[in-house]
Amino acid sequence: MFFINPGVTEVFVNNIKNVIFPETLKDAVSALKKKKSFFMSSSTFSFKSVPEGTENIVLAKKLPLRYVKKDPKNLLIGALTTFDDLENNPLCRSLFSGILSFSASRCSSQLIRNMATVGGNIAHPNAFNLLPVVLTALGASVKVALRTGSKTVPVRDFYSSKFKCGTEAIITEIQAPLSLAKDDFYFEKVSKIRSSWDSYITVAFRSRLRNGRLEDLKLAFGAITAFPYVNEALEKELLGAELTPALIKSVSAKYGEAVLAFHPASRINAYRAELAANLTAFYLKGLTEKV
Amino acid sequence: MKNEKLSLDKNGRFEISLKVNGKPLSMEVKPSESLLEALRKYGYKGTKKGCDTGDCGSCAILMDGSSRVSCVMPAFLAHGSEITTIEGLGTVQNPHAIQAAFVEAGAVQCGFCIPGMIVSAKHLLDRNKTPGEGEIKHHLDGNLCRCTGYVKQIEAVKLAAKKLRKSSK
Repeated sequence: MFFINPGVTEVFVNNIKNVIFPETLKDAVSALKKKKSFFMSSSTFSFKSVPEGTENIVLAKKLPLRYVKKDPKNLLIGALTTFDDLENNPLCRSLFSGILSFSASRCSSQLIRNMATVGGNIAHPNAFNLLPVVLTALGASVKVALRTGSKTVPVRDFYSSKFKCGTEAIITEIQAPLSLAKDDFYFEKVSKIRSSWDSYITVAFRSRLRNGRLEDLKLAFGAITAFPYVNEALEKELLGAELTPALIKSVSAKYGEAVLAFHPASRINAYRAELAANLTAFYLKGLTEKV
Repeated sequence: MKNEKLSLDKNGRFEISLKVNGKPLSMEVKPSESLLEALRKYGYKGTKKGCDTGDCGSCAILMDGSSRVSCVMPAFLAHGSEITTIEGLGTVQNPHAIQAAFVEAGAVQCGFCIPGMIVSAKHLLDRNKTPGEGEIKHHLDGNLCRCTGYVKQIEAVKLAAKKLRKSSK
């Protein structure tokens, strides 16, 4: 066992014997068939997730998965697209009210944004990963390459699908439906300092109003559990209803209570709960002003 | 097509090929070695080891043109890449415009964070010749200084931009 970053990252790299640079996805999946192989994207803290005993590293560096483009239905983002690419890409800046670009700009520091990839941010659940929260609000899907072919699953089902990213599955693409591109979006990350990777809370909200009522809504919260937190029962309370001050107050308070319930004894979580309630109220109140 | 592959030699090292400051270089690196450690081992000591967790930016280098932290990056990942370290920008006798600007603006105190700052500034100025103060702050947000604060360093980047614009005319 070797600690590349003492106290921070526990890594198991002593057994690594080969590093393979596949140039096609087919070759990458095929290289993973070899026992004790692990797929790494090309960036930051990949060592964290190297399983003990790994002998072969399959490196993503040469795969043609760094792109942002559109097809008739979706915005397509390759898994090796960096946060810096997302921040500066014209499509990411213009579609979905620019939430992809703005949220990417709030991820850690420039030095990390230049390295960290979309696929790497999604592959392993972590409370502080930004993209799962944003992509949940966007109703996006994740495309993965498996030994048996490829599969596309909604982001909200990605972690429960139990893909073994790195050993059996490779994230290849994100697909965000353009049918939602003109909805209303909101993103906020509350952290100690702007360039920190972690946060007290991260929220990504999406909504569509029709005749003054919410026709569609997704409120996703990060930094609370390893997966984005979504409360479908509370969303149902809001859908189709008139956004009265009383309803906003009641639903926001319930979000606060729900967040607090995860770790009731923690002072930081009490702050998180307050933020969850306040940010929800702030967003919903803003919607009433648009009516 | 056969995929490129690195295999451990009998000493437990990979032999990687890369370009450092424009010169082709072959490095022997352990699987566990970070790019920072490898660069320093091969004499590029201008790249500093600060936090070793990717937070402080003193180990920043340019990899294929973009600024990155080298302390959390396995050295074998640099195989086939072009690396620029602070030594590749200028010398004491012939400093790069950004280095000269940092001196002129009085942006250097102990100096430990400065190579990383200059490398970050280089990446910014390569892609934006006229950055505003907000852009400079945003781009240098991963470079921490524990001596001076950041006012002089932001001024230095503005001055460097001015110098570079002037020299390109």
